[in-house]
Amino acid sequence: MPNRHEPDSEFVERLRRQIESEIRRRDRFPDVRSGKRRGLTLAALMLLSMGVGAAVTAAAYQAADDARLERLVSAFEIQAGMASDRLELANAELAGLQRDLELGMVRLTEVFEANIRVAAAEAALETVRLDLEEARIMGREPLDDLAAPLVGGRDFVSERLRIDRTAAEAALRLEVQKLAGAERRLELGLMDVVDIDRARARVVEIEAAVDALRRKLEVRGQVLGGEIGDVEAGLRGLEIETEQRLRALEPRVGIAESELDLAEEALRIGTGDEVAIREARLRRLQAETGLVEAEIELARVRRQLGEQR
Amino acid sequence: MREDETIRAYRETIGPLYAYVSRRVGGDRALAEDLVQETWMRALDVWPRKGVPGEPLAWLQRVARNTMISHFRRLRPEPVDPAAIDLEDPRFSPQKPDVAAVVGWGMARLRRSHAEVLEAFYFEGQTVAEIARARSLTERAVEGRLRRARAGLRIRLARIVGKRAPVPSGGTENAEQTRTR
Repeated sequence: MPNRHEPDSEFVERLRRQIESEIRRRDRFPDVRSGKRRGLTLAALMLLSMGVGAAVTAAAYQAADDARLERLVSAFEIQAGMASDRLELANAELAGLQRDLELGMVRLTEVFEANIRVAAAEAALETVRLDLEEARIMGREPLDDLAAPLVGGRDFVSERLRIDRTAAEAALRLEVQKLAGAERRLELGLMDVVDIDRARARVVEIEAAVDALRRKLEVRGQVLGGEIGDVEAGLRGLEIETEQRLRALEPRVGIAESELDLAEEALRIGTGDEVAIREARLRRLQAETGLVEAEIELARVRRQLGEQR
Repeated sequence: MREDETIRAYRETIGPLYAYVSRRVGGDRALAEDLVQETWMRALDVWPRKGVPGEPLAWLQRVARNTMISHFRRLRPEPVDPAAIDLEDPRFSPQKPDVAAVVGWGMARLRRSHAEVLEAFYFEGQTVAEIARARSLTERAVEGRLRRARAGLRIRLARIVGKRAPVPSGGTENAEQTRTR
């Protein structure tokens, strides 16, 4: 008769047989990840398009005549082509993952993530098309500040903000689904608590982005309605962005603390080292510093807003 | 993953792993078996990719701990007699499943560093000096951490046992002072 904290022999043998059969099953059906190649292609294309993005900025600053406009428009056209290719690839990746999901070869979260990439690619394509249109009409780089004038009666600033908001809302819905999935995995013991904290932080971050875009659209409406001037609009935009940063940073301090706990634990059981602990301490310090910087920035902007009013 | 290597790790660790879990669930055999089984299924998810760790028992205990935290976080235990939870008693250890469920529920809501020091004190029966040595801390630091952890646990347990939750005995000597002797 075993004592109360000793396993009984029947359980020990039953679990051993289960482990052996599980190892053999997994050897017969290894985990197949077919999306890796597509992911690499997408990553390469994204790097290439970043180079084109730099060319757009360079073109905007260097040219000062008709040739400048030609180069600017040409760079935006290339960027639009790249954005279109990215969207096509993202859609292909999503379709492939959906097929793999039906076969049980990938997890639902991977399909969620591919959905986010499609929404982001769609938003990027729409935005670059608007940029191209504005550049053609005005012969200059598009203006994004909240006090920018209408262009040919069109409000490009609000159009871009709405596109960003739609993409962010789609990302939020998917992140909330991912979080729910992660919580179910946590309940099964398949995930660390710190992973859930990261997933929650991601939701908070996107919620803050959606809220910031909504508020920017309100400010833009007030500018166009003549309720506030250019300087106040600029400061309000800054205030919204700083509040967004603050909201996104707050959960990161908690995550950094948990990561430090994990690093200390790893060292104690012999699987970690001092360097990892110092890195974790540095991340915590950076998170705390970022938070304090954002608080100071917010106080400064609000003081300027008070002076302005 | 090599089957013989995994089975060897299993045979070497099943006893201490089960005891580690069982002590934390107050000897609830069915629950301890479920948690140990869940821990091993997770090992089978990870080990084929990363290999059997150098310290399999430490790895399994860490995962078992996370699995227990998940378990205690999703369940709200039945209230128990507050007299059964005397955090100031140096000999206190949750021996019954219902008391262990309440204490585990509270610990799952503490910071990891606080929960660990309480676990070492209440479940492993370690002294302040032993805890300090294992964590490269001073005894004074461990006493402070224990005090803060116990205060945090008491607040959380009050949600389960209501106003009759165990309260600190004020300026009288506390548990860790007694056990250091």
